Amino acid sequence: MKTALRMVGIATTIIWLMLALFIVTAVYSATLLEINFEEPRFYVSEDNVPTIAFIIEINNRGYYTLEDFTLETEILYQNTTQISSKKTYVAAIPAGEQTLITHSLAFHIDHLLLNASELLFEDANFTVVNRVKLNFTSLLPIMVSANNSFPWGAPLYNFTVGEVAFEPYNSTHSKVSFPISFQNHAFFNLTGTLNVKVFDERNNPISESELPVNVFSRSDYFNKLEFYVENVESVNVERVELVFTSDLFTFGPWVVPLEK
Amino acid sequence: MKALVKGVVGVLVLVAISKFTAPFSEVLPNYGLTFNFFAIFFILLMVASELFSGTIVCHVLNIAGSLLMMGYFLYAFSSSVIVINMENMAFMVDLRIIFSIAVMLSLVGFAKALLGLVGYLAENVKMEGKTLKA
Repeated sequence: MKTALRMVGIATTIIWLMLALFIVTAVYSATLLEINFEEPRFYVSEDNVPTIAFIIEINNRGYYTLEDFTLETEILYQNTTQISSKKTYVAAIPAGEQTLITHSLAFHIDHLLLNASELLFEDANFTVVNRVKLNFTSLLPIMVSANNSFPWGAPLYNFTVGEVAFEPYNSTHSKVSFPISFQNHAFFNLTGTLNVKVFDERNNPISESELPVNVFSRSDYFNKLEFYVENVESVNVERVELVFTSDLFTFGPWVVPLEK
Repeated sequence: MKALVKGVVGVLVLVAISKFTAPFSEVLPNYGLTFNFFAIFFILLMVASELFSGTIVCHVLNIAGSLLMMGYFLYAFSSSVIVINMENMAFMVDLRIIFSIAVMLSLVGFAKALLGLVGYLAENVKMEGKTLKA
């Protein structure tokens, strides 16, 4: 009996020591873990979705294999509307090894405009919720969550339809023109067409044109819409109706009253 | 002498653990306090048990010590998911598996202490029987 009890005592002491050793080395390993975020890369994917790719370098310099490494990112507008989300899973990162993870977040602009169309015209700050989950040899699950902000640049920022100008063209016609301008604050280039319909005060269409749009990211757009009216008419240009169509999204019609 | 050595070693281990967990004391003040209280009480029981070595009091104190340890781990188990909130960050460590192992080990310790008492009593009865026969 005494020998058996002594053996049990020795066995439990060994297991206690192993447990203590594991806790100490696991905490030390956690301090040796390096997670580096490289500069994000912006691109438009093959299926025409603006995407941000984060390259994350995980250097596991600790003593234990990191299991079930999961990185979850959620981008929220006004803390409620979900703009984008992504989950990246790595089954195991062995001790002493370095792993590169590509974590890509897609911005489906059509979906985004359904929930918050003002984001087309106004810059905003999105809330980015990052959650990292990992296990130290299945024994010690750890979760780290961090909230950051991410600036959103509006693709049609400060969209302005300028003052209408009339000038005689010839004996029968006059030229009507007004400028259209905006700034592309978005991280993607904007290529598409702007369909413009002009209406008078009685809601009758006067003219319809299509302007090509090709604006690089963080660049300005300026164009002048011109059309001709007969001199006999007393034209009162009231408002324009616009539809923007591109590979990335379609928006409109939206109405802009004209300055006279 | 053995009791003194055990006591000194116990205090040294406690000091080492306190130093090791010192960086977390600001974010988890209650853990340190409860743990220190438990550890000092446990060391006292361990020293007392050694002082009464070879008597029934030693086994009773061993049982009390293992029960105290099991009680502490069961108490700590209820708050074994540690959440540390920082400025815009939250850090969560799930110690449930570790505490489960600790509870199991302290249960084995309790069983060992109980069997030690039973063994001691059985031995005493045997000795008494031998004395009576003689």
